[in-house]
Amino acid sequence: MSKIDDIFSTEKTRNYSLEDKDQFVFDTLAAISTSKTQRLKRFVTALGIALGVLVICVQFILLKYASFESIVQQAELLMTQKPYLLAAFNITLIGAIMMLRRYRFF
Amino acid sequence: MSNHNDDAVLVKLTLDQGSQYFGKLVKRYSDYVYGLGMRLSGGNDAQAKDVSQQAFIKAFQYLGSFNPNHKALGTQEGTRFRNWLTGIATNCYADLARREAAYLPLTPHVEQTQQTKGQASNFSEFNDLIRSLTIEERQIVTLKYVYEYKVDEIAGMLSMKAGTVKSKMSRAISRLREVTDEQN
Repeated sequence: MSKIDDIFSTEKTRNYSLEDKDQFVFDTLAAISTSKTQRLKRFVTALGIALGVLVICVQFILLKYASFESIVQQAELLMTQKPYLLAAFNITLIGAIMMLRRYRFF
Repeated sequence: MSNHNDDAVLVKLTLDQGSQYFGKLVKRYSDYVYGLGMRLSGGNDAQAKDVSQQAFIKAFQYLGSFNPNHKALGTQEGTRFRNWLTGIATNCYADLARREAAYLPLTPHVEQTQQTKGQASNFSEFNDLIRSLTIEERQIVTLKYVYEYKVDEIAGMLSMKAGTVKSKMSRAISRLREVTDEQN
């Protein structure tokens, strides 16, 4: 048996163990939890940026190709004729923000 | 029928109900992964702990892709999760070692001092020997000669061709023979 084979066979029988296994498990689960939160934060940030870009693009297109006055008139018409739609939109927006804050998304 | 402690059952429970079940898997395999990290890093305790933690974080992240019926994970039912984890830990070691080498070039003397400092009980001839190898050679030699994986299994774990594994293994063994001859 060569020296290398001897070293390998000795190593096979050797057992390594962590000094504080419970602490290691705790640290690892904490790190997993942190990495999950970070992934979620990155996702929300990316989603926010994408939405922002989309809104800017839509605004740019509207301002370039549509008549701004007519848009304002349409909005006025909507507010006077269907105010409940605006109220529903605002309530949904506030509800969505509150839910996001409840789940600590940002 | 599989009991509550089977790896595959714990994986399913983790995916369905949350990370509290993953803690049992971490506890079960922490010594095993730490031992693998110690061997790959040549007895570097801090690096072995980092490798272990990173391996479990990655395993949790990709737990959904773990398939207990996959042929590449071996024929023995009880060892499939361990084999899957071995592949992850081995790749985590390579990532960590490359990252550290990029910004922390140590001289062999400093590396050796860091690795053996305060851990005389961790000294082994194997760790001393394996430090003369490259990252990939360390992975192949450890998996083949200590953990007794087949060449095909190692090739699968390291995303290499079996022929490449064989040639690197042969080169690594030649180098180890040279080192032992020099020592003698």
